[in-house]
Amino acid sequence: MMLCQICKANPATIHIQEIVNGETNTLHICPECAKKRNLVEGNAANSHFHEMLERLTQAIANSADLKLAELFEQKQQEEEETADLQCGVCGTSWHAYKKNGKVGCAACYEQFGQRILEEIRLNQHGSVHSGKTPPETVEQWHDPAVSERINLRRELERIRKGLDESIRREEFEQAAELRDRITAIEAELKTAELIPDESAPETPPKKTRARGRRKSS
Amino acid sequence: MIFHPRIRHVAAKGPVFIGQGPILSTFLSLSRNIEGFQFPATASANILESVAELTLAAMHHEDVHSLLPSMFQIKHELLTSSDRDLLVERELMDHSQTDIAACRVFVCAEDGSTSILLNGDDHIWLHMTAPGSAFRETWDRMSTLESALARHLRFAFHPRFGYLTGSPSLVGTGLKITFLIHLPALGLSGRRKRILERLEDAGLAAAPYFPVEGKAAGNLFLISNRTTLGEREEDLGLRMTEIVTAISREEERTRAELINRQKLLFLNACGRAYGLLRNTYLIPTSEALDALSIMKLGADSGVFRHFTRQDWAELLLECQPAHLCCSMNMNLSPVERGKYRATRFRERLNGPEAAPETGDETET
Repeated sequence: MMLCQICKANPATIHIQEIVNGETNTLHICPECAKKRNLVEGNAANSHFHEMLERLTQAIANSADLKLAELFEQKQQEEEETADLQCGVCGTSWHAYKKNGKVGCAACYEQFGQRILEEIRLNQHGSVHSGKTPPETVEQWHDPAVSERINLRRELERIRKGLDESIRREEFEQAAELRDRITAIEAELKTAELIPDESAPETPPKKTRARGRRKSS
Repeated sequence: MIFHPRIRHVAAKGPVFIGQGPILSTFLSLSRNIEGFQFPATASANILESVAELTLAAMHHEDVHSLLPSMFQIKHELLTSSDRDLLVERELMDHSQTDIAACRVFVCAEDGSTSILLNGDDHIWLHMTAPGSAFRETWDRMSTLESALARHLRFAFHPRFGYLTGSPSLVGTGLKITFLIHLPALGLSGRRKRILERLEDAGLAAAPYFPVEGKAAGNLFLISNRTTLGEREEDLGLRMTEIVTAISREEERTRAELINRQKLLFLNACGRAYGLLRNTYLIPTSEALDALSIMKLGADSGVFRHFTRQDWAELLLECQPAHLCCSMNMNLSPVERGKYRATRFRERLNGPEAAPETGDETET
């Protein structure tokens, strides 16, 4: 959710679109400002769209400080400001987040800083977590095979990035070397199947019991 | 084979939509991510494979495994679209997480009470269902499972934002509580829209369970929380339980009023719904759900004495597209589904036990 473009304090729940010479300008405002500017009367949802549009045109003509074009420019400026906002850990950009509503990693919450904080504050009940917390200590991982495969996959990621880089630099000898290493690691990882494919379900517990009964009788 | 044998097995289990009165069931889902791994939306298949392996290994630890008896796991890509539709109809899978994606793993209890999706919108999505209004018991069960997993997996957590999730709309507790509620009388009285709209003030949202052209077929609604940050899980759950119970009481009060004032009209509606379902040869889902809704209203009010909540909930699931395909074990066109659905209703309702006991309606 975004903030009202006029008061910049309340959440914008009213969205007004204006098309001038084929260009679409959008105004996002809160009900209070809409009321102040005479854009809508009472509940926005109840107002008729045409009536609203008429009022809007009138308001533009009457009010000197409400200039859609100016606001639109401001919005564009804001967009430019956030154009290079990007998470330093996973590379997700602010724009990508705004597009699909999903952050890329835990670090995004720190990296997007104030902007994401504002969004969370608007959409959530509060801004500080209360409720379950994780335990102080987490048992160390004991399965060496699992840890090993996770490390191998991490290395694979690194080498793949290196491969892209060497191809970009046209260092083909090094690229070939990296490619061979990737093939070797992939082969090693392939030996362990995550979940064995089962074509039929395992024997249901009922049958096992039936067998037991037969044995005892 | 259009259905995975495991999923057919789950489909054969009884439904959970059998609560006493208007509140039919409670669904809880909890989202968690593992620290140090990118979230599924941006992570490579490689990372997600590590996440799946770590989580599955944690789930096989004795203390976690003892909480997950009779669980089976399937790679998401091995589930057909019919399997996934069926799981959505049973509320074991989320609409938004049905797409095939890298390293998704679906874990499910054979009784259909618990399901877990790995690498959906978040690394881990725990989901539990229970009949009736049952927040407290279900949350206890879920919290125990989460705590057991947290002993072996370090979840992404921020002291201010709480548990970190792919979508900031779940950040904090990561908990989504949903109640399935049946509101036919409030719908007839015309007050339902206003009551459901007012939920927004309480930070809740209502959505149709089976939307048909923007309306809720069968008068069934899902009420869930919109916020997850700043309120303790128990507080939210109890607050929601109170609100949903109040709506349910209002529904019951309206039902009583409706029956007292317009008994003949009410009996007429029940008899017609029964007659339609009993004699139909071709019926679409929305029409079936609307008729079933009136049958439930009648059953709750004692008109259909031998038509139990269990019978009703079974028919509610059986008449839905994926369940019909599952019982016939083949893909069906909408017309074929309409035909088999009608056959199912005729078979189930043709015995004398389902008939309405209207009493002496000439009195009214």
